[in-house]
Amino acid sequence: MNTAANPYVPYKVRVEKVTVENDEKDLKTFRFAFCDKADEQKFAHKCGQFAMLHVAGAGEIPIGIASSPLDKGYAEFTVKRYSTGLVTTALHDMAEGDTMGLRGPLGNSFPLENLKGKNLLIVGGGFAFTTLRATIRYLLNDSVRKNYGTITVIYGARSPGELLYKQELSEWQRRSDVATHVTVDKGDASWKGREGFVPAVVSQVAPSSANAHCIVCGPPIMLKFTMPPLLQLGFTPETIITSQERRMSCGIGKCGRCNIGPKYVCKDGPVFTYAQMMEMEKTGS
Amino acid sequence: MQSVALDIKNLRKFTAALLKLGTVRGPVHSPAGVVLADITTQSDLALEYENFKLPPKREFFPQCEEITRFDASGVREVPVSGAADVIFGVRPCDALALSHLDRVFTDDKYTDPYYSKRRGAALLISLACNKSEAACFCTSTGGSPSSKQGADIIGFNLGTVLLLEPVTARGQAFVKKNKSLFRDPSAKELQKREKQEADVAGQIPGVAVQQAPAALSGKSDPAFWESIAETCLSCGACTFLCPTCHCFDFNDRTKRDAGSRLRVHDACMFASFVREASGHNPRGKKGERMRQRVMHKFSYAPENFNTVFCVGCGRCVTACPSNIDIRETLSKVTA
Ligand SMILES: Cc1cc2nc3c(=O)[nH]c(=O)nc-3n(C[C@H](O)[C@H](O)[C@H](O)COP(=O)(O)OP(=O)(O)OC[C@H]3O[C@@H](n4cnc5c(N)ncnc54)[C@H](O)[C@@H]3O)c2cc1C
Ligand code: SF4
Ligand code: SF4
Ligand code: FES
Repeated sequence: MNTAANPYVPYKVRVEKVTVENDEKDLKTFRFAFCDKADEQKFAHKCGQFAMLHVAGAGEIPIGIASSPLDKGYAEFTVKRYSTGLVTTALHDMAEGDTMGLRGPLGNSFPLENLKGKNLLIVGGGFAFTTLRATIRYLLNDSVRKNYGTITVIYGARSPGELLYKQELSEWQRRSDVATHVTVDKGDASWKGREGFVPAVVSQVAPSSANAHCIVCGPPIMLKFTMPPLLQLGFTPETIITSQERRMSCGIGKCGRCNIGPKYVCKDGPVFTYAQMMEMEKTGS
Repeated sequence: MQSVALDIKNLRKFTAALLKLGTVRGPVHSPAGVVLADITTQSDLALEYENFKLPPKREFFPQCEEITRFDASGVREVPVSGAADVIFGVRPCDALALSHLDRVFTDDKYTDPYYSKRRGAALLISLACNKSEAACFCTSTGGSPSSKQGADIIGFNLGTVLLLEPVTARGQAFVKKNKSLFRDPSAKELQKREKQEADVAGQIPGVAVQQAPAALSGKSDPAFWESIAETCLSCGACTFLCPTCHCFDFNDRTKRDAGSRLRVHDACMFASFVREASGHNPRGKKGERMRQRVMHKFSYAPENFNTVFCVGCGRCVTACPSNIDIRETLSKVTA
C-alpha cells in the first residue's frame, strides 16, 4: 500500500460470487472484484496476509486472504458468521453485485521465499484453513511447484459437511505431487475418508521432518494438541510456522489493540514461528 | 541553540506575532482552571498554571474524529480538520509524550495522516515547569521539568522575563523572524533559569522506572496482577488521560442510507477491548488488563522504541477513583 495514501480508506470492491461452503451455512466464500482496475495492482498480496473488509454501517473486520496471489482479477475470503457478530452477519447478507470496502493487503506472510527447496507439511483445522488454501493453490501452480520438495496437506473439520473447498480438496487428492489427507472428527453414512482429530492424524501420517517446515493453522485448542506430535516428529519451534488472530481496528500497528506481548499481530504478524509465539506469550496475553 | 529574552511587558506583542501564524492554542483561564484552548486576542495567554488536566495529545489525536463518509455511491475521505498553527504552553512531559506518539503514528511503512498532518502544522512552544505537582515523576522517565524533546521552542518563565530557547530549525526560524521582539538574555537571567531548573527538578521524588523493564519480564504471576488490579473499576480514566496512550477504535454511524466512520479513543482497561465474536477474551480479567497497561508502557515500549511510554505526568495517579498509583505498582514490581 502506498504510504502517501490514507491507509484507513478502503478500495471499493464488488461482490462477484458468493459460495456457501458448509451444511450449517455459516461459512461463505466471497469473491470480490476491484471496481477500479488500478486498485487490483496495488492489492498484490502474499500468502498468509489478511485484509480489512468494510461493510458500511456495520464496521470493518480482519479476514485472511483465501485466494492465491496468482489468481488474477479477484480476491477471495471465507468468512464465518457469528449470530452475535455485527460485521460477519452484515457480510453474509451481501448479495452478488453489492459493493463494499477492502483495505490491504496487511501483515506479514508465510516465508515461502525462504522455504524454497524444502519439504512442506501444511496442517489446518476448521475454518482457519483459508490462508492455507491460498498457500496450497499457490504452491500447486505449475510455475511454483518445482521450487519445493514434497508437499503434504493434513486438513480436518468437524464433519464432512463442514469441510471447506470440497471440490478443490478432491482435485488435490487426485494429484500425485501433493499428499492430501482429509479427516473429520466424525463421519456420516456416505463418508469414506479418514476419521479422527488432526493431532492424531499428524502422528498416523507421520511426515518426515527432514529438510521440512510445517505451516499449521487452526483453532487454539487444535494448535495446542498438534504441537506435541509435530515436535515428536522432529519439527522444531523454529520450523513450525503458525498464524495468529487478535481483535484489530487499524491493521497497521497504531491502534494498540492486537498485541500479544510486545508484538502486534497486524504488523509483526499474523505469521509467527512457534518459537516466537512462546516468547510473546511469556510476557503478555 | 541560543536563547532570547522576551520582557513580559511585551507578551501581547509576542501573542500578536503568534496570531499572525494562524490558529493559536494556548493556556487560557476558564471556570475549570487553565485549559488549552483557542487564543483569539492578545490578552488571552495565561502563564500561571501547573499543567492541563487533559493531555495535549488531543490536539493531534482528538477523542472523536470523522475519517470517511459513505453513502450508496461509495466511501469518501474526510480531509483533516482542526489543525492549529501554534500550540503554546505544553509542559515538557507532554511534549516528550508527543515525540513518543510521533513514532507510533509514523513508522517505516504507514503514516497516520490525521495525527501527522496536525503535528506537522503546529509550531510547538513548550513551557518549562516552575513548580512540580504532587504526583510528578518526570525525572525518572527520561524527562525533566525543562526537557526539550518534542518541542520547537522551550520557554522559561522567570517572572518578568520569558526566556525562549529554539530547539528545532523551525523554532529558530520563528525567533529569527521576530527578532525585534526579543533581546539577548543577561548572564543573571541565564543563571536564574539554571537555578530554577535545578530547584524544580530537585523537588521531584524518584520512582523505580529504570529497573522496571528488566523486573517486569519476570512478572507473569496472575495473582500479582490481580492484587494490583483488585480495586480497579475498569473505568479507563488512567488511559484516556495519559499523554502517551494511543489506543483507538473505528465506529460506523449511520442515518438512513448515509453515514460516517469515526475514529474514537479506546482503552485497554475496558473488559471488551479484545473480546472476540466467539466470546473468547484474551484479557477477560482485570489483572490481565492491568498487566497489559503496565507492560505496554514499561516493557513493550522499551523493547520496540527503546524508551518507556510514560513521561511521569502523574495524571493517572491523580485521576484514578480507586487510588491505584503507578508509582506504587512500579515499586512493587521492582521490589
Ligand atoms: C488476521 C486475522 C485473520 C482472520 N481471518 C478470518 C477468516 O479468514 N475467516 C473468518 O471467518 N474469520 C477470520 N478472522 C476472525 C474475524 O475477524 C472475526 O470473526 C470477526 O472480526 C468477527 O466480527 P463481527 O463483527 O461479526 O463480531 P462482533 O463480535 O460483532 O465484533 C466486535 C468487534 O470484535 C472484533 N472481533 C470479534 N471477533 C474477532 C476475532 N476472532 N478476531 C479478530 N477480531 C474479532 C470485530 O472485528 C469487531 O471489531 C480473522 C481474524 C484475524 C485477526
Ligand atoms: S502512565 Fe500515568 S504518569 Fe505515566 S505518562 Fe501516563 S498518565 Fe502520566
Ligand atoms: S483509573 Fe484506576 S480504576 Fe480506572 S481503569 Fe485506571 S486503574 Fe482502573
Ligand atoms: S490492529 Fe491496530 S495495532 Fe494491530
